[in-house]
Amino acid sequence: MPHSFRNPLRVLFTIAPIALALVALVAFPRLAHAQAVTLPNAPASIIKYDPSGAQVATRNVGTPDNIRGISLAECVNDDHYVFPVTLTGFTSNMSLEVWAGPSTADCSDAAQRGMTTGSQTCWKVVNGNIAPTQNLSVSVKMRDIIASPATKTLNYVAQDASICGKIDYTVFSVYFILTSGGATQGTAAKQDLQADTIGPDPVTGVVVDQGDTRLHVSWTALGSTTDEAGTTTGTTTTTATQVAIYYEEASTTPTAIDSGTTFACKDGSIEDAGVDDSGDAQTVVVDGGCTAIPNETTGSSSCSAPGLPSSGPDLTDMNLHSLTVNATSSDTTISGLTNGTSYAVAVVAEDVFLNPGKISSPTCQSPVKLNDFFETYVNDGGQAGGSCSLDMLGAPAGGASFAVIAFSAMLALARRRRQKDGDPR
Amino acid sequence: MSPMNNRRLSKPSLVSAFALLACTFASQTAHASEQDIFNGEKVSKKSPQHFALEIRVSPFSPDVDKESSLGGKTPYKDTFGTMKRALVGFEFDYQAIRIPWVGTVGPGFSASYTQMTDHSFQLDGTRSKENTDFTLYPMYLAAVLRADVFYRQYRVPVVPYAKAGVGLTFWEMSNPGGTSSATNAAGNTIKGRGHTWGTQWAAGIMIALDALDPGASVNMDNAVGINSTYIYGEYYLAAINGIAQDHPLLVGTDTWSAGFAFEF
Repeated sequence: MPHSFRNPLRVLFTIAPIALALVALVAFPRLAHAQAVTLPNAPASIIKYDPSGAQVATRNVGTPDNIRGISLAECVNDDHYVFPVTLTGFTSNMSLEVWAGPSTADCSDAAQRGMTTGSQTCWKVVNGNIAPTQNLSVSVKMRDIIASPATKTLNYVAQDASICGKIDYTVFSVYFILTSGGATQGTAAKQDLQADTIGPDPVTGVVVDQGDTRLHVSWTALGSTTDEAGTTTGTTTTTATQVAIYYEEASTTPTAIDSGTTFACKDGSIEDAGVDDSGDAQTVVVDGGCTAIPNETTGSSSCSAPGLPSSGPDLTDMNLHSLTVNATSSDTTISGLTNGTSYAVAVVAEDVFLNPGKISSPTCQSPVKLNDFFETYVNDGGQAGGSCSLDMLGAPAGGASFAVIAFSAMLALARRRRQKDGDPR
Repeated sequence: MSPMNNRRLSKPSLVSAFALLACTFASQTAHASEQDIFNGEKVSKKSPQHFALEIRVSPFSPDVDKESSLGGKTPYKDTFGTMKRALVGFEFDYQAIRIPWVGTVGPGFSASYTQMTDHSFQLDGTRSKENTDFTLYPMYLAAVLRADVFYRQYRVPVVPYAKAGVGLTFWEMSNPGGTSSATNAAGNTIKGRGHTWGTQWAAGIMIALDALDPGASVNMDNAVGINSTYIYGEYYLAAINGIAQDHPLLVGTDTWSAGFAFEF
């Protein structure tokens, strides 16, 4: 007899674990083959791709579950997610199914997938069933996730772009489920995804004023808590987070309407009005510093530009320019323009998903030569100018910096003098 | 009257013109408190005094339109009107010398800031919607005489003073695109910025607020070293018309200034 079996207790401790394992296998077979689906390191491991296979940048819209949120542009582009999936405890007669539903649904419940009688709340987002392996990469189209079809079936139904632009800040849940004969096997994996494919309220009250090689654009300040659906959400996620200003050289020149002449004086007063003029003569000095101004009204209805259709900015138009400002702003300046050239300007609010709201109608305006104070001074005969000033340090910060430095130096002098007097202050 | 009784007469809310006038012609009660400060035991607790700081505000309108080459034209008035703008700044004095029975004298430096903004003109002379700015940074270095003998010797909380020195104002004219530029008569493009030298003259009166609450004054001295606090008003002439400069921009003015002053 081996030496190790001479001790009865040693025998008991050696055999007992093996016996218990055998009992467990007989009594609880499900434990031995516990099926589970997991999404390792989700949501960080979930990657977005466009149809060409190029990775799409993610965005952080707040809580961790939302960092892979679905936007209008991604829906229109037919982008898709790739989920890393790990399966355990599966057998060859099982398959992996991917379903989506509203956040209130539990797609791991076969009834909610329409497998039994009752109301079906989930829809299938991957065509067919996936043969299980331990590690998988599952591609799911964003359009399919947000489909929420009115009539739900047991089969996958591919969605087109018409589904885009209809989902307003809604959470969808994507389920990865091991099934056998339609029945759920083990534990499913779930990932919540935020979708918002509707932009903020349209920007109103857009006014474009002339500047010297500039245009000054202003609009009615945006609200802060009302989302695009007109409901108060109490969250800033669906409200506008920035305002985009698009501009492009106008494709049509506004029509000049010759309706008379006014006489405007340098002090801004109007001396005479309603006198017909026969042509489109330029301003002519009349007397007393007053000038005759053909009273021409520009036709705003004819304003348009190739990159600014009513459906939204055409971002593929290489001549279309844009700038963005914070949503709290209500004006901005477009610089670097050419005087005398008509530009079409349109404004649109965008939310944190960069979903644009309805773009404003283009407004055409032309920068013009203006006389600022210095030009007025020089034109009147003033001869000063051109020497150094604090603005060379970056006005107004230059002046402020100079004053602060001077003041600080004097305070330091005061402190030294007090220390010399024996006063510790 | 005891110091405690004196304190009943003063509250922060009494910092008004009426109260200040009343204190200017100090009552016997106020006299007693000042005597406590200067002649009594508290005198020994006064911290050394070598400096003064003024917080200054004044209405400001530069003399730009007085330039002879303008031939009577008024570009400043045409652009910014006649309304004066607020000039805010500070002055820091080093009270280097105390002259017995007169007061202190020493150098003082001041820096201020103001900006005018209005709309540019279209070529037809009407206003556009685009802003044009005129920014000034007036500064001066002056000799400052503060005759505090009346306050220190005769308990009248009034300190007349005078200043004389050299002024320098940096200025800039700008539009939304930055510093303006224009083509002058010689065909040269010049920037709308520069500096102008001149002289600075001022005379004013400070009224000591210590008399309102002598106890608080002593506490302030003990806590932060401020010996006296004043309100002041002065009239000044900033003759910033270009010393040894060929084509200076006239950015001087004559106006009044008011604010608070602290000696420490």
